[in-house]
Amino acid sequence: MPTDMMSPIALFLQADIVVKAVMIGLLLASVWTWAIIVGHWVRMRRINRDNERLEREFWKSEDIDSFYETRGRSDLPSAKILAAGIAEWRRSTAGKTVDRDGTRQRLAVALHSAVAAETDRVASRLNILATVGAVAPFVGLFGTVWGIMRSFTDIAGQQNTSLAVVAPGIAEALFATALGLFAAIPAVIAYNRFSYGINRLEARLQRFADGFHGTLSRELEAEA
Amino acid sequence: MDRAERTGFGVAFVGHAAILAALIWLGRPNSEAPQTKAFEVSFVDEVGLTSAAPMPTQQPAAAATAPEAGPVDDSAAAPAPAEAAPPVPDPRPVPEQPALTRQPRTRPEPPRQQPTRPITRQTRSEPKQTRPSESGTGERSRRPLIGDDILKGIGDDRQSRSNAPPAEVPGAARASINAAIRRALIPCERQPLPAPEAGAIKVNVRVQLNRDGSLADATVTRVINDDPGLRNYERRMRDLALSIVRGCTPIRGLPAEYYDAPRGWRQFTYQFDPRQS
Repeated sequence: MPTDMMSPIALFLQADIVVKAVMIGLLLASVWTWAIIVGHWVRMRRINRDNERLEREFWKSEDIDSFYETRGRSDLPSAKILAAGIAEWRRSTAGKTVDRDGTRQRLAVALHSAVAAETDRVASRLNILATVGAVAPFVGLFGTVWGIMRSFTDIAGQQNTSLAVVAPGIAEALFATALGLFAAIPAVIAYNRFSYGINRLEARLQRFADGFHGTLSRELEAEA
Repeated sequence: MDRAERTGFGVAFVGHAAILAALIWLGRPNSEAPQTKAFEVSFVDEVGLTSAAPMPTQQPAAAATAPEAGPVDDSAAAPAPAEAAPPVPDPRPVPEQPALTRQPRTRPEPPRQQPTRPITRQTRSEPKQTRPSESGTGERSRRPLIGDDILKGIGDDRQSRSNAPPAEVPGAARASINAAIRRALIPCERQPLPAPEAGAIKVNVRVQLNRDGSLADATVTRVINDDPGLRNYERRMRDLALSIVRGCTPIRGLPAEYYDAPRGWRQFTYQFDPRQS
């Protein structure tokens, strides 16, 4: 009987309604966490690979305008930064007189905000990982405390303190904490790992933006 | 929700389902294991540790030699014809001899056969042996050519067997008696215990039975309890053990010949062990 009762389904079915709700919530949180982890991992791999190729080709290309028309309209962060810089360039140099200093500053601000925007967009789901990682153990603990309270109430009602009566309730209650940790541990690991990846991506985008800013600055001087 | 996130959700769902299935699958053999049907095993001394031979008697054994074929002397002490006696002239008078020594009452006259029936029934092997004596003189033609005295002189000699019970119940018989007693008491053992943990207490009861299987006396000889915390339950477990013995006692069908034998079933110790029953 005891081994049979340790099956996760049996533990779930025996549990109190509150503990059941906690377990379902934690299971959904775990599914969501893993969805974010897998999705983010796939996207980051693609972004890193394509970004690198785009930047390499950009630095090789002779004509920025034609490169932008052919390759720059994709959804990649580098392409967006490129688009932001070129849009600002075109707007600033459209008039008859060009304020070079002002244009440089505006370019710098536009590129900087584009980098920030792209970083935010990539990192948009990571706050969920952080939340799950921080909260899931507590939610599981809540389920456990509730379940143990209930099983102690049952003991008091039955006036029977043998371990055989107490143990199943405590086991099913502890199952909630196990689920909480099951959801939280991957979330915390993935959050730290992805934060590091996003910091690297941001630094890389910033370097690209700086390089592009330098190129545009030189163009600005050449046109004068 | 872009493509990467859909992939992520798909992978996450499949992964969780796989983990759940694995947990259930891993949990299953454990739940199947106890389902193997329990069967009763008893350790039997096939060979009695002490002699189970019948009590020796002072009477000399009948001649253990094969009788000669030929005209048979009707006297009781005469060697009877054995297997090497095709022309059995008159084997009939001899079988009366065993009936005479073993059960004096059944011998004299047919009318008294009815009242003594219970006795002959209890000693299992007897009825066939007494039949020749009861059949009287008329049915000689129907009798087989080989008489009941075929084994005369080969150990199973009625002259040397006394009316006393066997010296000791042989191991196999004792095991079957024990099993029969246990089977008889099982229905009464299925009672609620004062508490689940009280099942750790064992109670030894000395049971004395009458010859018809009814209870003569039952006294608790020992209460085995290793846990001082269960001392409160001892008294109720004692009462429970006694009520089991009283409730299920007319135990029928125990072999009568082993009633009085040493280590027979006139008196035995019954252990009430809830963890075993």
